[in-house]
Amino acid sequence: MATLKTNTLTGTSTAGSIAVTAEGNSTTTNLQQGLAKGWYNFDGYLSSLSARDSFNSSSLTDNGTGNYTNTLTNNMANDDYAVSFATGTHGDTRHFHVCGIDADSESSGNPPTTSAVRMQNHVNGTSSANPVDHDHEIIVGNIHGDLA
Amino acid sequence: MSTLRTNALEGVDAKNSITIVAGAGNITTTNVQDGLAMMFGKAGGDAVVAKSLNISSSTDQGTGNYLYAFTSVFSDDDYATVANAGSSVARMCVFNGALTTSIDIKTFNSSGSATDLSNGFNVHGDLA
Repeated sequence: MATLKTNTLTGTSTAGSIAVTAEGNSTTTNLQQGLAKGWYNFDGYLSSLSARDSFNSSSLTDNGTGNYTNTLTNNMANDDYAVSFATGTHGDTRHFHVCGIDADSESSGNPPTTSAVRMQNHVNGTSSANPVDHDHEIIVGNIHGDLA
Repeated sequence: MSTLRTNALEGVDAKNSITIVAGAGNITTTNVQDGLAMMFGKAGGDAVVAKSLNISSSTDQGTGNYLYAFTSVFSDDDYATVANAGSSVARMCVFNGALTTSIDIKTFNSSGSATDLSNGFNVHGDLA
């Protein structure tokens, strides 16, 4: 057992690149690439949004029913990062709960920018199969990609 | 302030295990390797990958069906994947299959019909 004490890790050849030996003891992966660059958990049902907990999130904005913007503290290098979501609503028996990026393409709607992710939440309607906008009580997201 | 400069990290007792103090109380530790995403990606509805880690190729297998092959394979198919489809109207993205060498995902519209959509995903698990 050895313990290394440091406050900061920096690559030698490239400051933002450190290889880590992975679980199989031979393949390496990249430390910086593998780290989540942001995550958040908040209640979209509240009239005043605030994260239950978060990392690299400076603010949450309510844009309307089921539509929110998470603004980043530290910007991403570009808008090509990967975002994933999960949702939940306590006591709601409807079975189709979904959260997605509020965009139909890179040029239609509100695709992610280097500083923010805008998301749209839906649940299946009570009288038809068509989903409707919905304020989920649990909205979770995470971000992987390159910081600026 | 101290800065460690290195190009690579490996555990001393086990190369594949490094512990880092992570808890708010400065006591609890977590494992660096276990906490790293081992694969992630963002791709368009045409399977063209815009940003990725550990993806060697992508295949458009048909309407709303995509296969992403890994550069470094996983030790088993029990890894954790989350995925979503991008759309301003309700859409779904589901995990259709897991191999040590690739993942297969599908995207649907709100009627349950396969639809080409941009998709994002990440994987946590053990590399081989």
